Amino acid sequence: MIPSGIPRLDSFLGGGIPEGKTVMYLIQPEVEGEIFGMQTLYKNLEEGRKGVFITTKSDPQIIKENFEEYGWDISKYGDKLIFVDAYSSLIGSESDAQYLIKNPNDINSYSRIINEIVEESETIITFGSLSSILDLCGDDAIKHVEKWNKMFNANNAIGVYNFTNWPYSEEIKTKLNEIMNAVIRVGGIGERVILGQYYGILKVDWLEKAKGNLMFKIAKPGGVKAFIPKVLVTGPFNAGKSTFVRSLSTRSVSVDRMGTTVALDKGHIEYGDITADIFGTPGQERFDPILKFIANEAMGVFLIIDSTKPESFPRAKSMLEKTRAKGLPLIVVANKQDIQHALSIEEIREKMKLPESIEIVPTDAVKKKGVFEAFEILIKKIEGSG
Amino acid sequence: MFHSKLDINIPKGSNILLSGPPLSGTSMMAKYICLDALERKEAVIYISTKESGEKIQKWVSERTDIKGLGIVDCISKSLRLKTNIEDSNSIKYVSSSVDLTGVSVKYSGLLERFWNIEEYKNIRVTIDSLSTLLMYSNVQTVFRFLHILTGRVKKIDGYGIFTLDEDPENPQVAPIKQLIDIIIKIEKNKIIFSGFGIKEEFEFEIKEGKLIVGGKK
Ligand SMILES: Nc1nc2c(ncn2[C@@H]2O[C@H](COP(=O)(O)OP(=O)(O)OP(=O)(O)O)[C@@H](O)[C@H]2O)c(=O)[nH]1
Ligand SMILES: [Mg+2]
Repeated sequence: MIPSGIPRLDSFLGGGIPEGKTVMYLIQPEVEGEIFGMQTLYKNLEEGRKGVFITTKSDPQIIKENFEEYGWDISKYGDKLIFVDAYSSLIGSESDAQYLIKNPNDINSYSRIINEIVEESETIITFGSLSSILDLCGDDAIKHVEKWNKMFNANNAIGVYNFTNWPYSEEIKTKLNEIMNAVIRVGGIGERVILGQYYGILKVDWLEKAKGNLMFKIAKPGGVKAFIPKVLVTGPFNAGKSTFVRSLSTRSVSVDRMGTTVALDKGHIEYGDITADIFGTPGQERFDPILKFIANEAMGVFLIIDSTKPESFPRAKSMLEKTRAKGLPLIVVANKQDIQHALSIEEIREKMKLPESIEIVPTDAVKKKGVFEAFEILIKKIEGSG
Repeated sequence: MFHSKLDINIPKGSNILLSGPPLSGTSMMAKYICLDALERKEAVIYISTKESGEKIQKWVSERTDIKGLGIVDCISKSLRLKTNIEDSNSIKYVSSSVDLTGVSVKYSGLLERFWNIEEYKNIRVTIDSLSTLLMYSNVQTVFRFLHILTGRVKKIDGYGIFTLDEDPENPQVAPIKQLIDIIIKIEKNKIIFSGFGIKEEFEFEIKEGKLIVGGKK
């Protein structure tokens, strides 16, 4: 297996990309998705593997600069990275690439070179844009892609394709989906303009069942970063919500008066390859309108309860019902587990009459015990993989 | 409003082809139309395959405020007009005019930015010119790209304005016309609108860096 280099994707793929397999990033037009193929290639160069990059839209020098924009210096990998230049001939300019495609409109000229360079296992053959090869060579190119994929398979090489999902015919789309081992959709969210981006699993033929969706942001430098725009922390008065937000966050602010929150707690989390913005609500009932307001568009919810205060459970339960009604991913955080007479998870489940499907995670928010475990579990639910 | 000096009503969400024979001044007309929009606090996204982003920005800045102007520059990188080119807030660079995916990503980013600023009443997207795109990609490829862009223009209720340095009756560009609501032709000193049941003609001249338009003919 090789890593995809994309945050969280390897776990959706069952550990990574097995040798001999092909992965296609199916990219919605207008969404910055070609970085996915680049990131997969770069990650593997970093780990000492060999790679090939086939370019159709600019010369290798500009491709190098594009990588640099994300903070990735590929020049240091020398001959571990081979360029196949299918651009320079198109505009009639010189090329110093190792392999030059003399007739970029003829799919056979790609096949000849790909045949030549695929000989070793774990080589990552990256297509900067398969859609532009299709544009140049016509629909018949797909039959060749099918042959390349068989060849990669036989040689234990790995094919990574970027494909911009322009309005091609259904036939083309179906066929493409058929000949790839895995297809990852890269898309945009927003009614009238694109306001957010996500990626999600469409197909993984080496797994029985595969799923997962995640929003991302692109950092320069850094590349694709998983991103969760809104996680909500709610729960009864004094349960430890502000403390929980502080413990998870790399940066945070809360507006408290006399030890109780009168406006929002806000935190920004950077944990592994995930970034998230987290919002804590005030616990007192008079602030319920705020809860309603910010529960909109939340991606997931932590319900914090004070494990030492069963008298607050009915209030907690009614808050839970409110968010559950929205169908949001939710977990219950049983806080203050460090205190002697704290109720156990089983006792809490029993008292609150929570079904097994709702996960309860024990924490001590002050000492940051269990808080990141809780975060992991909620993320898995948000991704749809947990 | 499409233009403050032209007495013509073009519905928002329209996609417009601005055509004329080579050297007839389609690019210049496209810029003057954008200028008029910027002066009226519209946002303009200018996709340029002919002139560098900096040059366009300078031309506009000599005439009006450039706050509402975003440029997608398709040539500076491939012609190496500068080294170490990096995107700025208002100028975004694409590897080459072949890279239509890149163009779509960059205009989309600018759209998101202008969309979130309430001050802009309208957004228009201009390509100058389709003829360059058609030089590097075949007509089906350009069609698929424009299909997405013209759809986006309708969704945001803006205007799409695309220059073409040849006769739109040319059979080679016929497929593209399906995506177009209105055709503007530049003929010598005349500007002719047709489409949506509109057929209007105006005289124009450029005098001391200003576009002067006559009444309807
Ligand atoms: N022992 C112990 N104390 C905790 C824990 N978490 C929070 N506390 C304490 O509980 C009190 C309330 O914590 P906050 O984080 O302010 O609670 P809150 O839910 O934000 O309170 P409101 O905003 O007023 O509803 C503080 O004194 C915290 O130090 C914990 O895990 N163990
Ligand atoms: Mg609080």
